[in-house]
Amino acid sequence: MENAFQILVQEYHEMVFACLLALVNDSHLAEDLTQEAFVVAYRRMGDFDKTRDFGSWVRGIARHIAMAEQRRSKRIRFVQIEKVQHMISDAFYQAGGPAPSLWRRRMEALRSCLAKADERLRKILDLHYGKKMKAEHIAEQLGVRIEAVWKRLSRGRHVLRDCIERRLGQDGASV
Amino acid sequence: MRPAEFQQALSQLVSGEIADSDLERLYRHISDSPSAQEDLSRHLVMDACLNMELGRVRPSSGMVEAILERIDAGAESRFDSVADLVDQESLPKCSARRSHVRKRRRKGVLIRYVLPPLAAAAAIVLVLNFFELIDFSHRTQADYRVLKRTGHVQVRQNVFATGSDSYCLLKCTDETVLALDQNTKVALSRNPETRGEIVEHRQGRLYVDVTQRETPFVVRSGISRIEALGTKFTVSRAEDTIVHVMDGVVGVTRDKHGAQPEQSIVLRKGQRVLPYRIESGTWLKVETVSMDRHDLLWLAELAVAVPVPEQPAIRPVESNFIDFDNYLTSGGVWNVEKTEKDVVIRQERPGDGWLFFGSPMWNKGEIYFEFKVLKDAGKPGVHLVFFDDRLAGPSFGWANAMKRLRKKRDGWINTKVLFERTARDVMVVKEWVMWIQGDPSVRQAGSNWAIKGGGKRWAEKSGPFGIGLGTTDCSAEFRNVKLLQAEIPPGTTLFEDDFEGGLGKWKVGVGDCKIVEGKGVGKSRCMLVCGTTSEGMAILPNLVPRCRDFEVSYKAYFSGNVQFRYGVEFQAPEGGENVAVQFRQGSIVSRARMGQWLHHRFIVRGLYVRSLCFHKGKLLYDKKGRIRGPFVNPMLVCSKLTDKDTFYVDDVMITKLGEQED
Repeated sequence: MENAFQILVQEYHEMVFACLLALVNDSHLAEDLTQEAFVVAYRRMGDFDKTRDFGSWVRGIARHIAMAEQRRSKRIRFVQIEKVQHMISDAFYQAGGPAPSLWRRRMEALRSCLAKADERLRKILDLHYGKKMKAEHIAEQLGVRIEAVWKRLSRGRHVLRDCIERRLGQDGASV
Repeated sequence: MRPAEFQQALSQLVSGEIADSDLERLYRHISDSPSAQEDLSRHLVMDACLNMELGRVRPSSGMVEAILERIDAGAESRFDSVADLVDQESLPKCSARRSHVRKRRRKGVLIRYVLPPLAAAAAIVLVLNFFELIDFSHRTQADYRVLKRTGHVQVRQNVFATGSDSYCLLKCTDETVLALDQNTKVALSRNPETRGEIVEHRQGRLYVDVTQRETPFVVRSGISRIEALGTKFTVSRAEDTIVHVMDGVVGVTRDKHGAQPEQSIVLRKGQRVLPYRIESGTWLKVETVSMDRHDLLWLAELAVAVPVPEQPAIRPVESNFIDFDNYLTSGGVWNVEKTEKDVVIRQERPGDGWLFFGSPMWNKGEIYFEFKVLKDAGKPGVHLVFFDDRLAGPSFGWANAMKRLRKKRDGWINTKVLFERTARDVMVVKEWVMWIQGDPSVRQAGSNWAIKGGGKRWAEKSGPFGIGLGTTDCSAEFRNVKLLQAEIPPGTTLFEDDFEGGLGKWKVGVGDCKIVEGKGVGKSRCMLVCGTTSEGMAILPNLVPRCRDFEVSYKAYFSGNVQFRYGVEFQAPEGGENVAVQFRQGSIVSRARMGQWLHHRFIVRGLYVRSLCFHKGKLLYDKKGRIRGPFVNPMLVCSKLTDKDTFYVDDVMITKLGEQED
């Protein structure tokens, strides 16, 4: 095992996992596919263009692996529009860029944005993401219409994204 | 699509709760709108981030090691060909000349392409203060020699690594012994200040026998530090580090980890420590338990003399519970034929195939089967699979052992596999043996075999499980497949909650249903009132894995029109069809008066269900049936109510059944 590759795996695996999670929405599958992506990357290291960013390259492999998996198993949810797949991959490039430390900063920014988020928004995000509750059960628990739950979840993601961008902008990171 | 409508559908899509018809519409809209595409991608990325942050969805701690191990082992990926699909933008194609050079001078290319990223990554590592790496520079190499090894052991400077079929015994100059189980990796060094040995335990299982010494002997395993002076202990590292002391005393320290402060304990002979996670953090759980014989059997491969406890008896089964009437196949051409005395199973297409049987729920047991390879198509192998309700699970395959046996004589091979689900909910093959039929001396055997990735993935979502057989690169015939012994530990909790635990823990599935506490007749635990719905209702208890024998009982009362059915329905895994054991109009109700309580019992033993109904203590109905496994949860259901009907359920109880016949 080349030490160089070992460091690359350590540095990039979390970001590749996150990208796959966005694509397939299944943590177990994302984990399996992350492993596969790095094994393929190692075997194809000769094809890697050193002038390019390793993260983008391995995420490109991950994206194609996810597509291949989708063809094999129809059970997974997968973003079917290729352009959107590219956008997700690009979004991770913007989020992490060539340095995984930026990705970590982004997650830290998310943490502090969540801490300062509006209580109602935070509650609904906690129920949905933390307790894995479906929208109808959240609606029941909060005594609101299900449409309101969908709206608040959507708004929550918007608000957090804006907050992260602002925070990273203040910190001087390139986004 | 209007903006509000689009945002709602987007949110549903991101959460995976969108209806098929809406999905089609949404995709049509997205395909035509670049801004919608951007919106979707932003939501999906934020969704993933929130899942990671709030849902604690993270890559497992052993993932990096698993990747490196696979690469070390030269493993191929089932997606190797995916690189052909990667476009110019993300994976640049090489020119013919470059490709030619790559084939001839791979090492040169590695230096050319691997080292620059190494330099970049190393810079990142330094910036990020990876103190552990820096710390290594202060250590010197310890004096160890390989005393014994079986199979290939990788030795690189001070790092020793065993593979899937090798073991290694190391001896230090002061007679301290270090035994490495299969798939174990350690790095040995010495602290120049204390002159003490440092064993950095990276993966697998170690047996350590430390002699009486002046200098410290430290094993670092993940965030745990084990310090010993004259003692014997084992250290296993999978998800977490488990230390078991066989003799003497050791100190175990778990480093500060996140908000968790440093924790230290002293372990004595017979004690083991393992991390115990609860909401408030990770505790150190000390247990006094004797060593499992299967945790020591591997030491025999290295001729390390340790007393091995006897195998505790497992209850023999009276009949073969394996259900051959219902099965699932994937790949291959399967032919299952029942004869008078046996079931003959043939996978007739040379290649890969899987056959999953029903839903046994044993915690521990022994399976026996005989097989013969009919036709090779590469490197033949047979597999035994333990699968959960999503048909995912660890698969144990024998290809090398088969090859070695078939070299000596081709024909029928007998196989016995002793399996156990560990306290950590991972399926382990504790012992296996394969021998040529009629000649038990020609055999292959092994012990303690756990599947890393598959086991973990399976364990996290584990529901009731079944078993399966599979072939790779061959067609084969199996016969005499049977369960020799099986056990579910006494005291196993079948349900996380029952109705005594409070109604809040029960989930209302669908329909219009109210749960009212304490208003029933007699010693009421709950009351369900259902009415005015055409969809019916369902309530679901949480079923704990390994549930096999239990009883659902309740009292039911109905009023109004009797155009309904009610009973217990067994939820099938995703995509499957639920199986219902229900009473319908015209059956029991025609013999009982309206407006009176009926008492129902559903006795479930594995796949078999007995339904009973009583009215004022008098048996009205008694029927036996069978459900198709695997199933996920039993739920109480009632359907086809009209607006004039009300359905009451009271005294609902779910209890684990004992051994006796009902």
